[in-house]
Amino acid sequence: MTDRDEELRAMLRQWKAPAPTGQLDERVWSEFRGSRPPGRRRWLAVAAGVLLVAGALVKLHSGPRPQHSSSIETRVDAAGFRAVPNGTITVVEAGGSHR
Amino acid sequence: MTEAAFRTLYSEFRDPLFRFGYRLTGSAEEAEDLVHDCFVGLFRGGFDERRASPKTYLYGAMRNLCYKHFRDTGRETTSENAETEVAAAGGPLDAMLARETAVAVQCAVQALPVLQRETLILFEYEDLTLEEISRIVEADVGAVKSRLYRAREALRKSLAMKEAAR
Repeated sequence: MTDRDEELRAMLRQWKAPAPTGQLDERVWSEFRGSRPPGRRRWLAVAAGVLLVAGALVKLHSGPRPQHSSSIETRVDAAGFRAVPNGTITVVEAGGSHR
Repeated sequence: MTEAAFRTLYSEFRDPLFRFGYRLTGSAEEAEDLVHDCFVGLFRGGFDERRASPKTYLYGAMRNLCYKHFRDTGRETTSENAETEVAAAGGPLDAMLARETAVAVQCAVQALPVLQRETLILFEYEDLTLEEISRIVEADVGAVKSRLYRAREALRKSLAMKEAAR
């Protein structure tokens, strides 16, 4: 049933379809390019992102160091250390009497 | 979809889809609009390669767009201006006869019911297999065979009558 009927087919093929115009290509391609970010805009976005990250890193590493307060001094050497001699414990009660 | 992939599909299927649309609607202008919409749908993400081959998807999308166009316009052909391209012929008489045959074929094909017309176009003009057509028109192969058979019978009758009337 679906064998080729060559006579009918030859007759059918007398009807040729025209070719599409160049306008079709222009329309499709302009729509296609408009549907995605243009190259220049995409590169600008990438460059802006890189600059932001770089700026954040620079700020992180070169920010002001914490200042030490001049009123507090920590000494770790033992120079000038004098041991307290063993002495007698004296308890002074209120009122002045010693025990 | 990458530009390279889109370019490949566009160059492969632009002309076949246009011919399909042209023969289904009877209008080159309308066929161009429909091919445009078909490819716009393709790059806007309508195509899922896990579900269909690009060929089946594109012909199916083109078919759906043609049906939508028929619904929107309320008609299934534009046969009032039978502008035909004809095969190159030898002399003026051959050219005239070829044009007459081409017009007769165009009118006969466009007079077919749309289900028979699309099947005939895909099989006889676009050389698709019955299996491919069944996937595109979403009908089983038996139904496709039946539509093709009825289309050919109708065309044989109609073209024989026109031949006899000459």
